[in-house]
Amino acid sequence: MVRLIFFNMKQQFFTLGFLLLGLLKTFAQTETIVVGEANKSPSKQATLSGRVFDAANGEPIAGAVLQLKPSDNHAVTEADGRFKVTAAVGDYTLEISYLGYENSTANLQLRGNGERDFRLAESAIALEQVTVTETRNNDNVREVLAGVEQLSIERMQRQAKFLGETDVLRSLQSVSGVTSVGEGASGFNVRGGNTDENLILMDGNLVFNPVHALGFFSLFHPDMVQGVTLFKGGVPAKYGGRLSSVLDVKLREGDDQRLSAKGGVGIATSRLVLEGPIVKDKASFIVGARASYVDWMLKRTNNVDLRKSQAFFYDLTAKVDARLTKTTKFGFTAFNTHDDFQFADEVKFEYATSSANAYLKQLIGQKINLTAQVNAGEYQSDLYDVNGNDQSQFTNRIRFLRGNFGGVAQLTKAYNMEAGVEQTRYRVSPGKLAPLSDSNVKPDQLADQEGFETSFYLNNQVAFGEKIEVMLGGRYTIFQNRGPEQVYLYEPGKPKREQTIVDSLSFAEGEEIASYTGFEPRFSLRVSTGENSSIKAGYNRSYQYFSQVSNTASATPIDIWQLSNYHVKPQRADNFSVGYHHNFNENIDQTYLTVFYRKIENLIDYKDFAKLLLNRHIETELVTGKGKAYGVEFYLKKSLRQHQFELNYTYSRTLRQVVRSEVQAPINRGDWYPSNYDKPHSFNLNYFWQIKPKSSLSANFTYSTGRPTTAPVSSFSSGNVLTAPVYSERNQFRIPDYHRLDVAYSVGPWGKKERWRNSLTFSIYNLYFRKNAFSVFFRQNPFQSVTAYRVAVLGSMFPAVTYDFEF
Amino acid sequence: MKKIATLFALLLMSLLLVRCIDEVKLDIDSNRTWVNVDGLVTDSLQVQTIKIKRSAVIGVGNDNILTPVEGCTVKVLDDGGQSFDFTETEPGVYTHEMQGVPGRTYYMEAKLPDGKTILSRPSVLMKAPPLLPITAEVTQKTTIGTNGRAITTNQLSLGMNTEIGASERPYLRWRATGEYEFKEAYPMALNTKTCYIKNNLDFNNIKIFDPSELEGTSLKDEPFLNTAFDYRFADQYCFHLFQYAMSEDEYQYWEQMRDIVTIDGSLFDPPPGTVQGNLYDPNDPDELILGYFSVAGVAYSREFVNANSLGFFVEPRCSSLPFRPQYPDCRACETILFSSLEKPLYWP
Repeated sequence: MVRLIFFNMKQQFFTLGFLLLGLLKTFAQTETIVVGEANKSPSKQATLSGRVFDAANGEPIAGAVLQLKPSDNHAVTEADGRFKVTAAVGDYTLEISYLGYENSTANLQLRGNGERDFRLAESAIALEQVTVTETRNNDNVREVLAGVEQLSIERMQRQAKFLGETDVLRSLQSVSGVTSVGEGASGFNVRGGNTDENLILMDGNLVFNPVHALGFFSLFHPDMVQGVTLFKGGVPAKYGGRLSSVLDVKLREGDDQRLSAKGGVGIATSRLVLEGPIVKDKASFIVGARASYVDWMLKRTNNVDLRKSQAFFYDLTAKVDARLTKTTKFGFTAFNTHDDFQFADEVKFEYATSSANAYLKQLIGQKINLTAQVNAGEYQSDLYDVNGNDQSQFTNRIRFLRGNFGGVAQLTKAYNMEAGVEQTRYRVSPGKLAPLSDSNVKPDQLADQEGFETSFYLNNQVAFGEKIEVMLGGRYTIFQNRGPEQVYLYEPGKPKREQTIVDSLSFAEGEEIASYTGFEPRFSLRVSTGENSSIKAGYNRSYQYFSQVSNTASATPIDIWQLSNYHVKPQRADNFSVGYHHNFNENIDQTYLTVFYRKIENLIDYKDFAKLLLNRHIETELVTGKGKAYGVEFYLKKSLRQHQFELNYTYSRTLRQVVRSEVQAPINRGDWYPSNYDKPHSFNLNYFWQIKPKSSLSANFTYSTGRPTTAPVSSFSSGNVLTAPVYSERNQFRIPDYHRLDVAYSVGPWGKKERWRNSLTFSIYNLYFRKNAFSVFFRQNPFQSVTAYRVAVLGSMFPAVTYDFEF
Repeated sequence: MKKIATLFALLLMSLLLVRCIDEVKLDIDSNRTWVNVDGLVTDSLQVQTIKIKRSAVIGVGNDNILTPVEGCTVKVLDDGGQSFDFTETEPGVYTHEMQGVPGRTYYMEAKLPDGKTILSRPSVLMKAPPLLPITAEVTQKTTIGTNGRAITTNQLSLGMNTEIGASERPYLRWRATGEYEFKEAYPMALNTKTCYIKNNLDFNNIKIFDPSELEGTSLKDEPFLNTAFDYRFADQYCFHLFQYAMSEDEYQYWEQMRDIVTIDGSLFDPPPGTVQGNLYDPNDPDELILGYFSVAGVAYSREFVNANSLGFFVEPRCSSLPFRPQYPDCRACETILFSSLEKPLYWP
């Protein structure tokens, strides 16, 4: 286990006093640090040693400079973050500078030899101010970007666990503005955006489907996650390609000192992490695995349907980090996930992701840090028809290759710059149908599609004194859709239908079919209104060239992804936000209020009864419109001794408009209508009680308005259909509201340190048996009245116990 | 061990896979209704019917009761300049005896008492390919009972056979009605009667076929209908089969109708939409007119099936043996819905 901080007794005493006195302000605010004791250090020289870590992801920081002013004594941290600086006993101003971080100072009283570790808060854009933190800080106030949420693993662990596991996506839904369709839904929705509008990265790996088991678990191994950053408002220029948000999940590095293991055994899944040094102090590895074993139990039941069912998933994640030199670092992360689900003879589907990312970081002098990164991966989903004479397998697949080269430079104390270039190649196989056994199904396959997205980005961050800070940057993207492909041309001025095809164009391999360019300005402003309060404003524009096309009630693993092409233009979003942040009680208690507005152009929606699978003319099923989203987010964190409350409330609307044109019919007569994820009210309350040092209780309550649905308002007859429903205009009604209470009780860890350490978690999901509707559908049988039925994926309370261990 | 595994598996599957579906009340407040036209003109010389009603408000009384629109002026016109006037024979039901001509284009015009005009888009009447003898097969169907045990029943599966031809391959739609012989029987019976009972087989069962899915010219054993293989087949059962040749536009309409009547709440269900047919109000093109005016060639076939001919024995519902179950309708078969004592002329 990585030991982050080594203190001697005096230092511990000091730290305790430090905490008690509430001196938990940032280093940037010129704190006083006392190191060593004079009577224990007869020498006139004293050495301060320790390590510097990134607070966000726990990675050691190489190249950070510690200066003891006014002397010339200084030290540069090594690749593992270690430093050692010797100077005459006395008082100094300790200044730590590191590329991408604002210079900060503290009063250092060097009385004798001592160790001190520092955790530096990671900036959202890597050009943030340095904030040396012991425990709590005012990063949230000082951060220049509005709408950035950082979830440490500790914060996630304080929430009630589902089936005993800490889960990134479930924790994320306790953040203002983040919702989900519910149990059984893939992904998450940020400020009313679609699930595909979130850029999801895990240690630089692009993730298309972040869930296991229909959304009950996320694919991020909970024992490997270091921290999570969600950019839901201001998005740094180095990120692009999605309209709503960026979710950056950082995995922790393996222990470079000793071999250790960690894991858990639950009733449905088990997990294990193994980590240790490859070369002590130089290189480490961490490998995690997780699997469900429901299958084994299913095969031993008497129920015919269950015996025919499958419910299996696994994931494997591995990470290697190596400090090649004092200024060079190499890292590699790879993962493979697989899900296999079948229920009786009804439905079966599989999906799998494989991805690998490698990076090389090079520090040049003390001012420039360069990073080169390569990421390759594949996502494949299969839907099986397992019944009757039409047994078949439908497959779609995305392969991608990404390269990124960029750097950050600290030009002056108050001015940082980041620039780079990124290219992603997408190769999409949108559909292949293959018969199974003696099936009557004819094999079919759509041609692959290819897209190249090349972006150049530049970010500048300037501080005007302590009060004002500005981030100004931009991203310029060139997107090319290339052959081989056959493009259909439609009769001008007429709706795109198969019947209006007048010609087709054939494009050879690599030939450009369509090209789009777009400039995406990014701007953020922070104005401090006090030591612990600030107003932030942000604007950013994003283009999305690769979107999920779905006409199911919720995103599913088999939804196809569509590149921008000859007919489908890229979607564009302009995001505006203004927020006020205020911390109280020495930054322990925090609150913010943010107002946001998003405008979307070229928004893609689908016609009624769209047929999307294996469609060679998918553009005939799509319509183009515009969208808007707006709302207010409120967050409050309050601690009362061992009790901690986190509360957030979001009011938001997300609306769409598709008007009549020569080539398309309107939706809802061209009026604005709610999107599928429009949930005006969303409320979360998390409660954590540290009962004793080794036992805690947590409870989470969540509430959100039911999402929109289209409901029958009348019935008619036609032919042998005696009663067919007449549905309302799209999304004019709502399914019942969603609410749920989860509780968990954890005890442990117990056991000797360095040996086995154990803990137990008892959790109850959905404590009061709420049957939350995943969707509502309507059935009208002949001679009967129309009836609305609620589909609750999880219709009851679900208790679980999980045993965790560490050695 | 097995019990523990079952318990855990049921618990987990209830969580992960088994959906919980129950009735729920939604706050839907709408009194709006729309004009609903249901018309069919074929190339068979017969009384052709066009029904004009208003859709029913959901949640108020019986959702199935549509309000007839009386007093309409309804006519069908063709591209040869002919006009066929339909007369109102029942409230909201307009009829005319006529025979459509394959190759001709027809459309409907209806003027409603409130001044609204409804037109259908013109459609060419296509000749339907002839029906070949159906394939009848008895299969076993296994369902899971409420106790989790498998229940096996016999099912009669019908397959359609037709020769579509190489050119001018129309989209197809199949309909079926049934009729069966019901012989009274009870202990000590003296004068038993035989009834002929009409049997609706395909309510909401939309069977359509896209000819582009067919390689070659013969369609064989296309799954069409499944029905319980029960006492109805103890004696003679007569299937009346209709094969309609329709346009691509109509095919898409029935495809969408099939979508909205088969939604069952699965995760992969498409969101429902409004089914728009070929009817419109020329003065208000955005106004939704429900239903379809179909112009179709029709091929008709009558097929008799009984258990014996399929090599099975099916126990009749009525028995003269005293220890067998006795049903009231075995003494008065004319009380059965859609029953007639009159033997059809075509009955063997």
